Amino acid sequence: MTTRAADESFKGWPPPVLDPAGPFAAPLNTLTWGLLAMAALVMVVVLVALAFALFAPRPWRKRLGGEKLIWIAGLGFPVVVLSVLLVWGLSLTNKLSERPQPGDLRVRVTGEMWWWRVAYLDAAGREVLQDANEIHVPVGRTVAIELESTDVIHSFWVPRLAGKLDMIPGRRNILRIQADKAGTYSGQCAEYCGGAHALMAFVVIAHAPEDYARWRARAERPALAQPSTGAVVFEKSGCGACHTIRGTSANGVAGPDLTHVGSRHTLGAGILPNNAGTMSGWIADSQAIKPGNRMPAYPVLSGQDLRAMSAYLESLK
Amino acid sequence: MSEGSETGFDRSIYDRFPTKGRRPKGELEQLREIWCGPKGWQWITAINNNFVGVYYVGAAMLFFVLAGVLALVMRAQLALPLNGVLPQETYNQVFTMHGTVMMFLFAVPAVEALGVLLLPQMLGARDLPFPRLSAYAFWAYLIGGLAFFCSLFFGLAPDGGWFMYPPLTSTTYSPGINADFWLLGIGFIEISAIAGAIEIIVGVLKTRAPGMSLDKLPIFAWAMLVFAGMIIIAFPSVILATTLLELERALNWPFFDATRGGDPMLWQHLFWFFGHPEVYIIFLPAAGAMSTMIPAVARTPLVGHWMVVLAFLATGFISFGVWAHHMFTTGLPGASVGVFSAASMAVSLPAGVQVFAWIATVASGKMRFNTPGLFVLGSLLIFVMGGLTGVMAAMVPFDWQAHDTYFIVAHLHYVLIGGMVFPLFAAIYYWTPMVSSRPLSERLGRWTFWLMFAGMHLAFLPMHLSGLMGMPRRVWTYAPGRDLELPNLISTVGAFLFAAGVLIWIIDMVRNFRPFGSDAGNVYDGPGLEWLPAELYSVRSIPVVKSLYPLWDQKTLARDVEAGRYFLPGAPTGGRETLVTSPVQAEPQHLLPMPKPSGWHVWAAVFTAGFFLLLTVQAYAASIVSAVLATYCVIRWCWFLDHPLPQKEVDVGAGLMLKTYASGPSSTGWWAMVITLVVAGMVLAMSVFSYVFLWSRSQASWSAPIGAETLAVAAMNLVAVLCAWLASRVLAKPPRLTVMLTVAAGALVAGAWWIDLKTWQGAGLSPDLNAQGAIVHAMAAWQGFFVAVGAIMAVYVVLRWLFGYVGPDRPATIQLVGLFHAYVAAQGLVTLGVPRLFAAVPA
Amino acid sequence: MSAWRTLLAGLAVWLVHFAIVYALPSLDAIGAAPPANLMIVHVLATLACLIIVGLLVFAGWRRGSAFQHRIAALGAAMAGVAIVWQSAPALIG
Repeated sequence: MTTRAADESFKGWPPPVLDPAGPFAAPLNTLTWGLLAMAALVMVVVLVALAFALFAPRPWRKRLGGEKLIWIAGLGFPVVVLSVLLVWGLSLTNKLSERPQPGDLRVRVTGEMWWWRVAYLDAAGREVLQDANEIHVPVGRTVAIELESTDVIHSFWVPRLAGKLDMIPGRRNILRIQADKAGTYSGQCAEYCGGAHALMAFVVIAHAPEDYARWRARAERPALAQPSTGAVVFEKSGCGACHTIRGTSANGVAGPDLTHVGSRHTLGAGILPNNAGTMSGWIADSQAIKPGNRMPAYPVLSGQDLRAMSAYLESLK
Repeated sequence: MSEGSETGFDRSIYDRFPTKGRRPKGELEQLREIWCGPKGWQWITAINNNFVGVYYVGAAMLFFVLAGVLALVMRAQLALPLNGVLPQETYNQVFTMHGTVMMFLFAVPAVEALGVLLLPQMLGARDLPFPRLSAYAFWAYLIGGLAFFCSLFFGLAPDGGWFMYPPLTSTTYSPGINADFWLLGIGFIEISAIAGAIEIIVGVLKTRAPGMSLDKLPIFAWAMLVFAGMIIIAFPSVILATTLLELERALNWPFFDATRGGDPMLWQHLFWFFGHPEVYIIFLPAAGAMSTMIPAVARTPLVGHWMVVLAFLATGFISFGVWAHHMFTTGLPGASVGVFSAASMAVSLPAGVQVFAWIATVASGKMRFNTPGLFVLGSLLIFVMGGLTGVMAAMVPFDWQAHDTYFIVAHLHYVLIGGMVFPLFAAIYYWTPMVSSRPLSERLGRWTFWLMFAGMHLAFLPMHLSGLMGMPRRVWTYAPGRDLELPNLISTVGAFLFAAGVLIWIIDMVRNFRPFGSDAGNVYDGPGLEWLPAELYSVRSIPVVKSLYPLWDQKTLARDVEAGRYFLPGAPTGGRETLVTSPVQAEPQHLLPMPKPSGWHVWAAVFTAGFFLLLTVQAYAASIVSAVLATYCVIRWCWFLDHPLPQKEVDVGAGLMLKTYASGPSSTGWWAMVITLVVAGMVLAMSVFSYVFLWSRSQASWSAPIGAETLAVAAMNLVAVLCAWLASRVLAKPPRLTVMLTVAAGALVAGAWWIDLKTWQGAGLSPDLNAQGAIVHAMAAWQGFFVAVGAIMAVYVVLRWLFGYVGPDRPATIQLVGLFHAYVAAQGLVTLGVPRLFAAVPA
Repeated sequence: MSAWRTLLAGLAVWLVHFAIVYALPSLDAIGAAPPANLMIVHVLATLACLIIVGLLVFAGWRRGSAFQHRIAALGAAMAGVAIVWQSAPALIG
């Protein structure tokens, strides 16, 4: 998968809500179309009634000009339509609120200001793999995403795969998603979290099962220890105080895990494509790109150091 | 509603009206003199609703334009991706202010202002029952609102969104005083709204023209009545929420802090319990105006009038059951969520009734396409569209996609612009001839309408799509390559088109709006009493009302009213006055003497606003001084009240003698106090909810000290109730006894409060350690505030006694103070009992 | 006073029913009672409220076409629809 594919995943057309890619989003799409049809129908009824009321000949207007119109169109018809909709809505809500099943893959996503901390869990709920801003899932398998937050309220929304669910400090919400096609699906924070809320995006990447196994194996390996200038600059600049690169001395947890950052589709939580140029630009002055984010700018780094560090990080695939 | 009499009044007295013969010389001149308009600087202290109403509407429209300009700046920023018009932090302040100013400084005040301006005229009253109260509410709102808006110029405007969710708005993540501006800034708006609501409830139910029984109550008055009732029940929730968040920010009491047992969801419940009824509070008066204007413009009675009345009542109730539809994505249990979805469906039924009542009325009449006519038709279309997207959002699974996206932004603007802004503009065009010597221009009005209508759709229709395309709310920009450029650009063009329409309206107002002089007359041939010939004293005489559309059905009414042939053709007590009538049948009960203007209420407003604003900027000493001064001004203002007139009874017309002094449950003062206590009781109820909510979330069990002190506190409060009740019973005895009982009641509730607080502190409870400490101390603080006010009231009674103003001929003050003390004692019992009750229940 | 009781009785029943169906899932969430018991309360409360509003509709309709009686009847009917709808989630869930 290239970063081009990641860019395409963020396209707004066709509208992601109307372009479902899994069983937790497809019924929402059907519902949306059903509701739009209902709304259009009612709008037509109202427009026709109003047009008749204003412009039709006397006998027609007399028939509309009484309480019967209110009884039928204002009460009878809505009661019937809304009853049908309510039953549809309640049963769908019920179906989509099923508790996590034993066969679900377990992932924990913690909302941070303004990025996503991802952890893959084993069946007992222990964290076995840390990542950030990307979630890899196998096609056709339900994933139970545990949503938490340690700071403010965020909301996890990947419209092609499911509705959104909030991440509320002190609570754990669980969202079940499933992708039925391989591909990259864009997501966005959907609860105002101050500052750079507008720039807090993520991707969900669905792999065919064999590809998923391969990705998983590679992800669980620590970074290959390659001595390079970039690694030295990384260590000297104190980056390890906030970031972890498994296999090196960098073990900070305040910021995203960088063990395999080179293979990530985006940088800055879904807002930049991932290449050497954007990597340098982010390190040099992330504040200009995403004002207020928790990573300081590094104007002291020379161009040479930046390029070296950027090459090093890009090599962490 | 023509059953037996409600008050024992003999309805054959109505047959004496209209009276015959000429009115005495000088009667009209005396009326004019008593109600004369302000000269020079007196315009500031004017209390006549003809003045205050115009000021109020004007201020609301000023805030509409200011918040609208903020919207234009926002749209300029969003016209292009990664645009540089506004940096991130500024945008976050601007969008927060746009929403906050529109909801709190424009929408609610505008419809309240419409009530202040129109209701007395529509009901046949000379003024509102508490004119200084509505003037006070206006000045507090204007001063506070302007100061709040100016926070933008200092970079101190709140930036947490108009609903300010914690933890984002706690000190950790919002360290400046920006959030405090919001929390304290809307404090005086809350006071203003509640003062207005008291005014409107008492006005609609107690100061109608005789014969205007409930079935003849104008539909707009019904809407305002339900509106005011909803404010009384809903606003306390946001009062509590803002108080709790401010306590958390200022004193570190953890109501919403999950790390110490608090819960951010508590804010959401409290806020939305207010927030959803808030939008119906905004909608109902506008809907009432629609139901008034459409019959007038189509020249035919409202079809299904009784059904529309029921629609208001049903909306008033059911809108309180839908609040959690703003929380569908928070992870609430499915069964809860379903109940709110069902209630949200139910609340759309009354709206449908109104829409088809309007269509049926249009069909049964002959609609005119004048400017008010265009605005009401446009409003109907826009509102229906907004209502339909609302039904969509009420479906939980759809909301899981649409919530917090631009789809909801589209929905809310359609319902607010269609349900409130367009009816308001229609109302401005329709009723301007009543207050201005020139009506507004029909030609310019058409331009205004079409620009606003087209601009509105262009701006907000694309937002449905951009929401489904994945654009969330409250974003200062969006990345390129997401296909969001085109819908956003179209929205921006639409917004500016809409603004052009508003600009033309402003030009029209400057050219034609001339208030405080003569009026342009019944230009649209409306049927309501507000179109009777009137001057500053309102109508020359208060008519007997026999129909829902008096000017259409009682052909000689205008002439007879103007000739003084009905009630109160003059001023029998020599001062300002109006009639008090019974709530259901509108039978005359007594005369209500009303005050002349004086400055105390204005100063009280200045110092009230000052208190909140100084607290915001943490000038604590100055804010205390301001609070003391505000209290002093209120006391001086109240000092004018409760002085019986020399004439105990006067002739209000055709020989009917009415008393000039009233006390007890039929008096307006009693009603005002009871309504205020309902507000207090609702705050208490919401704090009990908060207690139970936090208790249910707690892992550890909450204990409470129960012992001898518990009994002592309970006993003291019960005795206080007894003292308060007795105080007004023993007025026939020497006044000293009454005063002692009043002081005893105040002292007992104070002592009980102190003991209860000390018991908690003795048990080791600390307000900043955990949620239990916080909520118990918050309830204690609320009770403490009431104890303090009760003490001030007791001092007030002592002062009255020292001046010789306590006696059996004037029981009102003692009764009202007694009611207050009794409530404080009851509240003390609740704050005593609830924590101990829940401590006894195993976790 | 009785005029207000007449006008608002149906809606007051709605309010009581709403409070009950709101409280029951909350009680369930904190494990205050076995779910089966809560369901029994839910069904009984719903039936009781529906019977009361039914009686109110009938009474209002019977007492004539005066303003307050018509409002009372329609208010009770609307309350009845809302009660049926808000009782559904517990039964469909």
